[in-house]
Amino acid sequence: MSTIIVDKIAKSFGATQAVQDVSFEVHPGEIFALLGPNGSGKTTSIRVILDIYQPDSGSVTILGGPMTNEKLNQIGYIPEERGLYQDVPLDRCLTYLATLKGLTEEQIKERLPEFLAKFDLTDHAKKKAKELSKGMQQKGQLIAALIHDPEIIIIDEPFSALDPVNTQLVKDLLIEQRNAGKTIVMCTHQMNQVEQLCDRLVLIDHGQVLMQGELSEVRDRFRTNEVVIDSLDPLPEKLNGVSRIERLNDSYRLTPQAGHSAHQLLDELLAQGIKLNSFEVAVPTLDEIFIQVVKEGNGKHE
Amino acid sequence: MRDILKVFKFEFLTVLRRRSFILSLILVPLIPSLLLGVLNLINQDESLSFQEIFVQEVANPLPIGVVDMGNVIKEYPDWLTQGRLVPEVSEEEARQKTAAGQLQGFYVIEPDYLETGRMRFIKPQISMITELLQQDLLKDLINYNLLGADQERFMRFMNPTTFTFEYLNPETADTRDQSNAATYWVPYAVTMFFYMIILISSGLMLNAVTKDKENKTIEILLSSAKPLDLFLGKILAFGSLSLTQMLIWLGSLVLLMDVGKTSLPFLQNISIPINVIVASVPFFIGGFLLYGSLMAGMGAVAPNLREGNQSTFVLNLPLIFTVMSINQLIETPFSTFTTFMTLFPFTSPVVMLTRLSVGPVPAWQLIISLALLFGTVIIVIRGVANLFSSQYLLSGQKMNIGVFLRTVLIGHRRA
Repeated sequence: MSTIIVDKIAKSFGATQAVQDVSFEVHPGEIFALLGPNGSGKTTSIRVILDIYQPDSGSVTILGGPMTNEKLNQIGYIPEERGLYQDVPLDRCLTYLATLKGLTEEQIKERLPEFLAKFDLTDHAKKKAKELSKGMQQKGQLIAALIHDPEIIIIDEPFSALDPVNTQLVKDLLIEQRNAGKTIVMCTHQMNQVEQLCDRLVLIDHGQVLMQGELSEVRDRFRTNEVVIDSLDPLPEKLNGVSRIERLNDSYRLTPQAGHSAHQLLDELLAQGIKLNSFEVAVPTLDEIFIQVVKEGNGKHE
Repeated sequence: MRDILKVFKFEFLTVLRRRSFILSLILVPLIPSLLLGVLNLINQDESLSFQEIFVQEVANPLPIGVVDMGNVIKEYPDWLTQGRLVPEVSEEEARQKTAAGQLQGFYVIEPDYLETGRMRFIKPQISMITELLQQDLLKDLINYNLLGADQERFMRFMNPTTFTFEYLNPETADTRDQSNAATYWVPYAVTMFFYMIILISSGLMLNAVTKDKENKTIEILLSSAKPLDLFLGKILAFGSLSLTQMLIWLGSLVLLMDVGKTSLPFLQNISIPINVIVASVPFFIGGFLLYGSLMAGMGAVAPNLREGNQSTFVLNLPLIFTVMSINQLIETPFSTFTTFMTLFPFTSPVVMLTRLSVGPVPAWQLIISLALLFGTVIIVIRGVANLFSSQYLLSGQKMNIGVFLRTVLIGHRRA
C-alpha cells in the first residue's frame, strides 16, 4: 500500500492554474523526489498533500485514507520558507511546535535534550533564535520536523542556502530516516542531490506531470547508445559505425550509427589498435534529462 | 479545540514573559504612585499646601508695598492679603524700603486710576511667575475695595452663580455638579483611557499575526494546526492579557485617586463611578474582540507589520471619531447623536463608558448596546475567519484593503 496517493489533483488561485491533473504515489520507506523548475507547482502539490490547501478537484490519500489531525501529527514538514520565533528561546519554540504535533510535555522533556545533543545545540537551547547562526537555526528546524518521530517527512528545498557541512548533515539525516523505515518526500531542483538520494521521482512543470518513475528506470528511458571513452591515443577523424565524435575535456563522446551497438563500437576501437583507459556507456545525468523533458514540455505549452 | 489551547498557552506565556509587557504593567501605575508618595511625604512633614510650598520656596517672602495715590484702597484685610501687600505712604519711602531689602517692590496706583486703570510696579529684578500671583492678589484687593470693602459682596463677586437644574424629563436629567470642573475631567479621562487601551490591545493582534509571517513560522504552524484554531488561540491569549492589563491599570487609577485625595485637593471631588468599573469588563471585552479580530484579519492579509500598520487607520476611524466628538458626547449625553454613538457597536465600547461616567444610562440602552456589540463581534469573527485561510496567510501579495473589507463583509471561499 502506498503511503501517499495523489490522484488527479487540481488547484487554482484566481486565474492562475497552479496544478492540474497531478497524480503520483509515494511508497513506504523510500525517498521520493518531487522535481520541477521554479513555479512549476511543487510547493502547491505539497501544500495540498498536507491539507494546507484544499484541492479544487482530485484527492489525496495518506496512510490509507483522507488526512486527519492524527495523520497530520505523523508528518514532519520543513517548508522552503522556514523560520523560528526570533524572540523566543530555542527550547521554548521547539516545545511549542512539538506540542502542536501532539507530543505531551513529558515526551518533550524526554526527547528534546536528546535531539539538542544530537544536533550539537545543547549549549544554545536557552538562546533566542535571533542569537543563533543560520546553520543552528536550520538544525532547530530539523528538530521541529523530527522530534515527534513522524512516519512521513516532507522537505521543500532541503538544501537551499545550506553550506557543505550542513548539506551533508541533511543528507545523512535523510538516509538515516529512510533506513529507519520512514517515507520521505523531497521537493527540489538540485538534481545532483536527487541522483544521490532518491529512489523514485516525479517531474512537474506548468502544474502538470511530465515524467515519473524509479530513478534507474528514468535513466534507462533516456539512455542512448552513446559511449564515453578515455583514450591514450588521439582518435582518427572517422571510425566505422560511428556517426559523430565529440571531444570532451579529457575524453571523447562517440555516437554510434543506427543499428550499431556499444559492443560493436568497442570491437572497432580495439581492432583499430586504439589504447583505452576507460570505456563506458554514456548515462544521461538527471540534469540533462530534466532540461530535455522541461524543454519538450515547454514546446507543447507553446 | 486542543490546538486553540496550545496556541493560547504559548502566546499568553510568551507575552507575559516579555520584559516590555511586565514593565508597562507595573510602571504605568507605579510612576504616579511614587509621585503621590513623594507629595504625601512633603505634606506630612511640612503641612503645607501646594501654593504655600510654591510661595515659600519659589517666591520672595518679602511683602510688596502699595502707594495708593488714587485713594482707592481703604482696607488691607489679612484674610485676603495675608500680609503680602502692605500700605506705603509715599513712593520715596517705598523706594528706600525696597533698596534696603524690606520690600520685594511696590505698586503705585496713579491718581487717575479710576479713569485710566494706570498703575506702576517698581521692583529690583524680573520674577515673572511670582509677579503673576502677586498681581492677582492686588486685583482681588482693589475689587474688594471697589465693592465697598464688603467681604460678603466680594465673595459673591468672586463666585456669582450657584445653579440648580430642574428637568421636565427625569430620565434624561443631568445630575452632575456643573459648578465642579472635575465633573468633566472624569468622562474625558475615561474616554481617553478606554480609547487608548482598546487601540493598543487590538494592535497587539496585528503584531501577533504578522509576526508568524515575518518569522516564517506560519507554514510550519499551518502544517500542524487549523488556521481558525491559530486565530482563536491568539485572540483569547491577547484578550486575556489585555483584560488583565486594563483591570490592573483601572484598579490602580481608582486606588490612586482615592489615596491621592489627601495630597491633591483637586482630586477630592473626583471619583470613577462604580458602574463604569463594572461595565468596563463586558464593553472592553467586546471592544477588544471587535477591533482585535479586525486587526488579526488585517495581519492575515498584510505581508508584513509595516503594511498592516499603514492600513489600520481605516479600521480605527470610528474610535478616532469618538475622541474627536468627545466634547459633544460629554456636553449632550442624551442627544440623538450621543445615543447613536452609545448603541453603534464600533463606538459603543468607549462611548458607553463615557456616558456612564457622565451619569446614569437607561437600562434599555445598556442592553441593546451590549447585544449589538456582541452580535457584531460574532459577525466580524466569522468574516475574519475567512481571512484566516492558508491562501491569505501564505500569500506575499501587497496589502489590499478592498480585499480585506470584501472578504470580511461578504466572505470568500477558503483555500
